[in-house]
Amino acid sequence: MDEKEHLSVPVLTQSEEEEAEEEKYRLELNYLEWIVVVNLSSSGDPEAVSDIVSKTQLDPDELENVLEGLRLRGVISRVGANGASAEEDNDEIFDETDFARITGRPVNGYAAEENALSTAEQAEEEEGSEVESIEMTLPAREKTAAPATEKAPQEGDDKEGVSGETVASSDSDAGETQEGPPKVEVPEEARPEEAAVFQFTEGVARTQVEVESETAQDKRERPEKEDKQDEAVLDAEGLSRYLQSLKDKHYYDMLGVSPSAERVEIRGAYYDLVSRFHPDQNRNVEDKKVQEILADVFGILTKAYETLYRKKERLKYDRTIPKVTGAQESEEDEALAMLFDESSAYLPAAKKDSKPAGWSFYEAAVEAFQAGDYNAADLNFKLAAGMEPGRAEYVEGLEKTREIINKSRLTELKREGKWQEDQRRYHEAIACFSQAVDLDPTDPDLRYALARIRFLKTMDRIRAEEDISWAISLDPDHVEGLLLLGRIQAWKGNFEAAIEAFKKVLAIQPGHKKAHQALELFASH
Amino acid sequence: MSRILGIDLGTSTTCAAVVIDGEPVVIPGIRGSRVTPSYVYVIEDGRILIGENAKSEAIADPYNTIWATKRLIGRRFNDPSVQQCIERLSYKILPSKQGDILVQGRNKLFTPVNVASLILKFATRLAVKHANENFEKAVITVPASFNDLQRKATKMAGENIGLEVVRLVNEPTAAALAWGYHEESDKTIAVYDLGGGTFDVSILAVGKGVYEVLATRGNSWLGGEDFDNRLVAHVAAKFRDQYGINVFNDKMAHQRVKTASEKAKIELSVKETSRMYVPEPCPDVSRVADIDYDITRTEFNGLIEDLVDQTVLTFQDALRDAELDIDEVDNVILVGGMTRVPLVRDKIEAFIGRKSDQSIDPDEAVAKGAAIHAAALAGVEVLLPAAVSTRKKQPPSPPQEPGAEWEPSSERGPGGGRETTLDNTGSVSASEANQEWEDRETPIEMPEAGPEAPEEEKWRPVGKPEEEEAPAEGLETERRSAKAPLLIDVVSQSVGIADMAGLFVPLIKHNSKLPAKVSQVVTTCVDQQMAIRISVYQGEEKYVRDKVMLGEFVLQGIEKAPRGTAQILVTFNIDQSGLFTVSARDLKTNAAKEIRVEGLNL
Repeated sequence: MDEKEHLSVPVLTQSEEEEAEEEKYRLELNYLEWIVVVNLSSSGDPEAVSDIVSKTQLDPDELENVLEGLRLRGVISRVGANGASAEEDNDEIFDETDFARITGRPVNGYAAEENALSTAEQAEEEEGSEVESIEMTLPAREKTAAPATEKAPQEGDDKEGVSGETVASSDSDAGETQEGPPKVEVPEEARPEEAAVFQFTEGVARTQVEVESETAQDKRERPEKEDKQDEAVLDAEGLSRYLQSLKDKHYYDMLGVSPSAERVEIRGAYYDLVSRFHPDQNRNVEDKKVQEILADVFGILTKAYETLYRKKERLKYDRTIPKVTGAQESEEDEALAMLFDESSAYLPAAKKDSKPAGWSFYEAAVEAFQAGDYNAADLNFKLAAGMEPGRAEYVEGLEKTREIINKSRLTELKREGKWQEDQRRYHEAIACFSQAVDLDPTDPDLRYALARIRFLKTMDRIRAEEDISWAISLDPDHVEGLLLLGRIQAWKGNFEAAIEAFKKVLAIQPGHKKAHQALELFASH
Repeated sequence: MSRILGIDLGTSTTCAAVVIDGEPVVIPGIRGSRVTPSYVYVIEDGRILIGENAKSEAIADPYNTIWATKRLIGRRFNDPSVQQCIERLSYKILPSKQGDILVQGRNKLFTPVNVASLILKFATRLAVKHANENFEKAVITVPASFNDLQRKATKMAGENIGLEVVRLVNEPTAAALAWGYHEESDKTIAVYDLGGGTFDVSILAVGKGVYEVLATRGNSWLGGEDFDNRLVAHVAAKFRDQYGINVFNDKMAHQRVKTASEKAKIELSVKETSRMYVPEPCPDVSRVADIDYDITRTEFNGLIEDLVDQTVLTFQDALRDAELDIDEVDNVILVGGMTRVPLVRDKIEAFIGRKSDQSIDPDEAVAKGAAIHAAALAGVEVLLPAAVSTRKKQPPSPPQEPGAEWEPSSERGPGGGRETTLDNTGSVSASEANQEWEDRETPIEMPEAGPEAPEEEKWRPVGKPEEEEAPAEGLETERRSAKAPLLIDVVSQSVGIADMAGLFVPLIKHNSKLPAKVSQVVTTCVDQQMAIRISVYQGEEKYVRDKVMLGEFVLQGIEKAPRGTAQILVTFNIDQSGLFTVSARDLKTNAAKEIRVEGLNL
């Protein structure tokens, strides 16, 4: 009991302090919870729980409840005091242990996943190099696909041989840890396989164009043929080569359809391709790099498909490759095939021409400009100009945007300056007007306003004189400016100059009252 | 390879399915029903009840019964829609220190993720019992309109109970998978999914084993709950006018009216009128005041018409996104329990100008689709119900006689009695549905005894699930190849960043195909700048302030240089589950020094 009393002293004071903060969250800690919190925070050790039990003579179960509640509210971090009893075989009831298990996991589930991943990787490393583990998965897939290759015995046999070889090599290499990846991936017998990749990647368009004249039956067989080459592409090297080859092609070539293809054909071709290259279809390949490349391939194919499938975008796109699409009405299939070869060389250049480094920024800028969002336009023009300094469009755009931005900024500054002046915050007003003068040095009104405030309000008369002489030099017929100049000159004792200024005013506006009065006043000097 | 479980984690009901012997089988619930209510109840002794038993407690003890947390998952407490929700829900919703949501049941506090975990655990246990094998992986469905945060929270719910969430699938997409497999190319379908809490509509092109989502739209605040609430408000207003008592002041009374409203709503799907009777909803008032009203279907339709109209408008938007005319859509598939409401069907059919496709069970389709997708991902062969597709090839049904529109609802409708005869549409499932509705009508009060006695008989399904795939003639001939169906889903909401001027720059536009990847070069705007902070937003709203902020991250380790010269390539990724990740690379040093992405809240 003594101990408890001893405990309660710091507990209560602390709870009073913190409760004010806690009330905001409508969750007030009760007495017991505070005992726990204080004990835990003083020791910082989850094992202090047992100490608490002894100190406070709490029921351990009750303590568990308290801890759970605290942890959920984020008052304390995870406390390792979960009862680790065996899972009950009662499906309807979730008891304390279930609750603890479900809620007691770290909130960040991804951390757990990462841990799992890293342990899996470790396990893989223990077995052998990462590359090998990929190779191990490949033969398995080839085996499953082997029955599909029966129709073409020659190729099928080759496949079997290759896959057998890979299995053998990876098996035998399992002991060696530092096997160079290329060696493992491409054993000598696998060279033809690699060639098949080339043939396949470059030949897609051509075969399909040629096939168009063939019968429908052949068409149905084609996917099977390609399936056989499927496995060949599924290593990182072959895939990245395929990706590269895709990038050099135009969209029709990518999908392997003719420029005159119907939408249905385009969709069909796309479906055939994604059936092979979608990451989901190759989930058994666990290589992250392969998955990434597959995602890229999918992205490119999708872009091509979406462009060609939408009528408007297809028309637009067709105009960018007139060599291919322009010939479509008149030319025969062979000519088309020839054009395909040309276009693959033609397109990258065209791309470079039409899409230089800063072009995306430029486009964004123009869009923003048209939408009236000049700040964004300005930023994007700047970025574009930063990428390709000296490009005329960018500079022109930037200037135009600047002009508009400055204009709006000017009006804003003017309004702001006037308001500040009305509020008698003259220094702020001067700041506004001098900023405005920086933006537009040719406006005499701004100079006049600046001079007036400086002369009349802040007594900064030297600079006021500078400003007013600027204003007059900009606009010699500025009546207000001349009046102010006269006053400044008179204040300096330079009465002749002052009289001259007032006379000028009268010359412009013969009946100007103030000028008359001033002139009368100063004439006596 | 172990099987992967498909789980439809719904707002009001949860349903699990797994592919056994090539066919998706729904895991039966504890009382033979096919779906488990997504309810969690905390008993006095601190234990937790889930499912049917928990739902039974909702009337007796609404304060400690937690439900509809799917509407709260992945949201912040200060979200205005959450605030609205708090008024309607009987249990306590509290903010955590970080501004997240906590829900309270008796002395326990849960996050919505915890509640989802409990329900998932329960569903997994049922599956383990039924299939007699351990499930470590699952495919979980989410509404298509869920944003990244909601998806991440759902995934976390699975992972917290040791369930590897292989994929999150959009509910309408999953339903399309369950609908059937079509060898022939170019079929366009629309899936209209009106569930307990969310509404989604997706337009898909199906062919060659590929399910391509063309467009998706949805509203995560529109569902059966809202229909119920309309009826509750209507009845409460009547009651107030009659007796001057506001049932909303009493949460217990509110819950009882709500339960009665749900029952009435279900009844109105088959009957023209439903009697709503709640004896003495507020017993502490001295007078005798019962709620006893006849609600007609016309009356109910008047209450919900604008909600249904909203869904049709969303449908139109989706069609516009897909650049399709309604006539180009071959089938409009209705999914979700709310599509049993006759007005919903009428409006949809008026919109599409022909009969809708009700060939799949609205409650189970999503779970089955998830199971099929799970099997496809695991490389397990699936025999999809090709019989559905053969039936689809038949010419459309002859024009109905007037009054015959009600017919389908009486066939499949809940509580319509067992005497209703059925035609070709899943006869077993309809009687199963009856079973389920009856369970709801007669809640058994056995908080202690019920859970204590999990007799083996309870686990036996009333009807054999295999009978679900009754029409088997087509199956034999149309056995399909091992090539798994491929899903190509889309992003439902644009993801982008806020630029220097605070404007939204969409990087991945909505309806982009997944996995989507966009790279953007960003640069510094101040000399010698060493870090760039980037805020990522998601949403279809016009202004950044209305969008959901997915998080902020800081690019560290940029070399000192004059402004505008640094070039950092930031790559935004959305994977097939719709989850967002980001990576960055310095273009100048070209990966010599990777830029660190430090998530503030990513």
